[in-house]
Amino acid sequence: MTAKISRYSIIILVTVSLSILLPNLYWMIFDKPIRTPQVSFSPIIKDFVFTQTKNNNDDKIYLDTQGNSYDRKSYQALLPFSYYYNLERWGVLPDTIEGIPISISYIRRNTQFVRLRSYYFHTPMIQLYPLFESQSDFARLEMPNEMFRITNRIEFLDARTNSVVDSLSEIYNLALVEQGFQFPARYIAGNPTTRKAFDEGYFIIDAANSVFHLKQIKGKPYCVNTGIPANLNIRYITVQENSRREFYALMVTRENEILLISYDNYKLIRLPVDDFIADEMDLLFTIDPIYRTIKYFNDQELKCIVIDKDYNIIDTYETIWLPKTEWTSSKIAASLFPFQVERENARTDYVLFNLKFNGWLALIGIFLALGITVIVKTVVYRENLKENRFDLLIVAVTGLYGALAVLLIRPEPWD
Amino acid sequence: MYKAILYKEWLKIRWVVLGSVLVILGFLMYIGLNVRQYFEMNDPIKVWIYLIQKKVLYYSLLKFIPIFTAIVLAIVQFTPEMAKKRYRLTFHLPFSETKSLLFMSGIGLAFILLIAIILLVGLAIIGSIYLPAEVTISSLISVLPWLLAGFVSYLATSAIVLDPSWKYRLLFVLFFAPFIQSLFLENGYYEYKYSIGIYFLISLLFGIIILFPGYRLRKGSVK
Amino acid sequence: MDNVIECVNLTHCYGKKLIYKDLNFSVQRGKIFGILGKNGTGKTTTINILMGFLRPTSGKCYILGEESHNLFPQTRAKIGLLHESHVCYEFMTVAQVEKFYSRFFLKWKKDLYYGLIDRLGVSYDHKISHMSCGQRSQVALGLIMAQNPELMILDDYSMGLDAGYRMLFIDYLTDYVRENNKTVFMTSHIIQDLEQVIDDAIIIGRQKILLQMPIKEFLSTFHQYHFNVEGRLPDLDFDDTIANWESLKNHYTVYSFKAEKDVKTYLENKGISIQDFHEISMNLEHAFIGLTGKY
Repeated sequence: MTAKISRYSIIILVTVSLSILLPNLYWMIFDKPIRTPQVSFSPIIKDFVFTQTKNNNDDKIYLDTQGNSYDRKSYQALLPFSYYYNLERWGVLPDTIEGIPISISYIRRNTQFVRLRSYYFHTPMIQLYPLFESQSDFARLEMPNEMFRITNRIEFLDARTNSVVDSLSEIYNLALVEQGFQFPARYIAGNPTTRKAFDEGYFIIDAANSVFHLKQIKGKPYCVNTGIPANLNIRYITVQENSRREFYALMVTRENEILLISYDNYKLIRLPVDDFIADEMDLLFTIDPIYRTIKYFNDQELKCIVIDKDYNIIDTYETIWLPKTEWTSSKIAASLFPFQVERENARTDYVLFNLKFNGWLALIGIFLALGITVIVKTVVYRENLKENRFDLLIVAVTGLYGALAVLLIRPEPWD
Repeated sequence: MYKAILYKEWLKIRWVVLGSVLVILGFLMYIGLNVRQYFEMNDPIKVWIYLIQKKVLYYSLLKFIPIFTAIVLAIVQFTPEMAKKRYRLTFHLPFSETKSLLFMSGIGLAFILLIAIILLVGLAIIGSIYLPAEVTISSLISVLPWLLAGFVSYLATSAIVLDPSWKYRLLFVLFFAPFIQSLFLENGYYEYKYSIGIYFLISLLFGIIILFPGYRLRKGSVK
Repeated sequence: MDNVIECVNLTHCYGKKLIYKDLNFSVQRGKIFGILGKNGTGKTTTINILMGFLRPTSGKCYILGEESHNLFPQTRAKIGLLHESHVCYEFMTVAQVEKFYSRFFLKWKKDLYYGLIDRLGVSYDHKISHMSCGQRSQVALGLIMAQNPELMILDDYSMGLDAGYRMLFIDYLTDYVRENNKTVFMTSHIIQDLEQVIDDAIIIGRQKILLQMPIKEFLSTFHQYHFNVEGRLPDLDFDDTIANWESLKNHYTVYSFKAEKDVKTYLENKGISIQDFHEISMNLEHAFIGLTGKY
C-alpha cells in the first residue's frame, strides 16, 4: 500500500530530524563548559603548578603538587619562561635560572611550541604546494609563480597561465627519480606561506613509504631520501621552520608515536609518550631554555611530562576529572535519547552523519516512549494497535523520537 | 497519458524553468567575473594559495540557489492543483493517482537536475580557465550537498503544498528543516566527503513522501 | 436490473453536524437521476462520496459494480464528472485543455467539444482563467460531452449558464442519454429546466430525505391546496397529510400527497372552518418549493 509506505518514510525522516534537533535543544539548555586545568612546570621550584576553578566560575586558585597555594602574581613569577613580560614589568625577572643568564630576548630565542589537535589529521587539503627559493639573495621569502603536484610525476603549474611548466617539471622529476622516489606521493608536508623566517621545503612520503626532503636551493632542486624507516606508518608530519634549528619536523605515526626529525642528518628523536591517542587528544609540546614539556589531554584526563635536553623524563603529572558522560544531565539525556546524530565534532573538519548510541540507560526512555505511545493511541486516538504494527516497532527502536513521529503523523484508514 | 501530464506540467512551470535558468546563468557569470577580477587584481599564485589553504569557497553565492529554485518550482507546480480543489480533476483522471503524483514529482526533479547540471558545467568552465584541476574538482564535489538540498526541498515543498491540513504542513516544515540544514554545515571544500553518501541514501526517502498527503487529499481527510 | 449506481445506508456527518441518515438509492442504466435540495443539504457531499473524495460516516456506495472509494483508474474513464463550480485547469487555453484530456480517453469526441465551444465565439487560444464564469462552465461541459462516458455525474451543471445555454445543454444531454443508453446523475438547486429531463429524484431537506420517487409520480401525487380560514387562525401540524403549509393572514396554502377530499376531511376534523378550498396545479419548481419550504 504505497500511501502506507509513504507514511513510514515520512516517519523515518521525522525521526532522523528529531534525533538531530532534540539533543541539540537539550544541550542548548543544559550544557556547561569543561574547564581543562592549566598545568605548567616551574623551573623555579622544579615542580608542577596548576590552576583549579571553583564551581565553574572564574575564581581560579593556583597550586603546586605539595599543596602550596599562590596568588596570581606569585604564580606567574614561578613561570618566568611564560610570563617574562609581566615579570620584567614588576622588576622580578631573575638574572639567571639554573646558572643560565636570562633575558627576554634569550628566552624568546630559545622557546618553541608545537601543537597537535585531532582535527589536523582529519581535514581536507588539496595537494598543491608552492616551492620557495630557500637560499635567496633577498631577505624575505618570495612567492613563486608555480605550484607543484606529485601524481605519477611531479608537475609544476604556472598560476598565471594555469598550465604545466614542462621544463621545470622535468628538472624536478629527474631529481626525484634519481633519489629513487616511487610515484605517486602518499603525503606532502610543508608550510606554503612566506610568513616564516626561512624555508625548509617539503617532506614527502612516496608510494614505498620512504620519506624524502625536497627544497629549492639557488634555483636548483635539492632532493634527498632521509633514510627514515619505511615501516613507521606515518600519518602526519608538521614542518617547523624555527630558528632554533633543532628539528625540521614533528611526525605522528598510526601507532601514536611522536617523533622529531632532527637536523642531525634526519635522525629521529622519539618523544617519551606512551599513552597518547592522536585521534582523541590534544597535545602541546613546549620547549623553553631549560626544559621540554609535553602536555596532552582529552575531556577527562590530562598528563604532563617534563623532559630534559636529552629527552629523558624528569617528572610527570596526571590529573583526571569527571567526564561529561558522567554528568547527571548526560545520564538523563542518555535515558531520553537512545541515540543522537552527530554532524559536527571538534576532532574533525569533516561533516559527519554519525549515530552515537547512548548505552543501556536508553531502555528506560524506550520503555516510557512505548508506554506513552500505546496509551495515546488506544485512549486518545482510539486506534486499533493491530493495524500499523510497524509504528510500535519504530518506537521500540528509536524511543522518544519515534514516539513523537508516530503520534504526530497519524495513520489513515487504509484501503 | 504520461505525455499529457508532461504537457500539463510544462504549461505550468515553463516560465519558472526559463527564469531559473536565466538567473543561474546570471549568477554563474557573476562568479566568473568575480574570479576573473580576483586574478586581475592579485598575484595569481596568491589567489590559488588563498583558495587552497584558507579553503574559501569562491562559489558560495550559489549555496541557496538550488533550494530557492526548488521551492519556487514546487509552489508554482502544485498550487494550481490545490486552488479551487482542482486536485479532484487530477485524481478523477483514468490514471493511477500514485503514478500521477510520482510522475509529476519526477518532472520537477528532472528540472532540478537540469539546474544542477548547469551549475556543475558552469563551475567546471570557470575552473578550467583560472584554476588548477584539483580546485575545480573540489568545487564540483563541494556543491553536491547544496544540490542534494535542492532535490530534497523540492520534494518536501511539494508534499507541504499538497497536504490538505495546516497541521501537517507545519509539521513538515518543522521536521524536514533540520535535515535540509544538515547539508549546509561546510566551512571549506570536500567536507562532506565521507557523509554525502549517507545523506544521499536518506534523501531517497523523500522520493515517496508526496504519496501520504496525496492519499489524505484524495480521501478527504482533514485531521 | 443494471444498477449503475447503488448506495446503501449512506449516513454522513461533518463533525457533529448530521447531513443525512440511511440514504438508500440506486440508479438504473439509461435513467437520468437527480438529487434536488436547497443549498447546504448535502448534494455535493453525496457526489464527493460517490467519487471517493470523502469517506461517509457509514454506509457504502457502488459505481459500475465497484466500491466508490476505490475505483480502478480504467473505470474512471467511463465516468464523466462535472465538479462543483465547474472547476477546470484555468491556466490552460481552450485548445490546450482539449489536447490534454483527449489523451486519456479512447472514445474522445473532439468535434462535440469544438461544436459547443464554437458557440462561445472565443478564440481557441483564449485562456480559461480569462473567461467569465459562464464561459468556463461551457468549456467544462464541452469536455465532459467529448469524453462520451457511460455515466455522467453533474454537480450543479447550471452554474453561471444563461437560459439559452441551459436549454442547449439539456437538449444535448437528453440526446446523449436516449441515443446510447447512457446514465446521468445530477444535482441541482435550479429546478425549472429539469421537469422534462429527470426520471427519478431524491429531494433532500435539512438532515433528512423528503422524497424519493420518479418525478412523474411526484407531480401526479403532490398537490397544492388553497383556502381561507374563518375565526381562529391555527398552526397546522406536519404529518402524513400535511407535508408543508404556510399562511398569510387568513389565506392558507397546504401541500399534501393526499387527495382533495382527504385533506378537507382532515382539516374539518381539526375544527378548522375552511372556505373557498381549491387546488392549484404546480410545475416541478413549485412542487419543490412547496415540499422544501420558501426558507
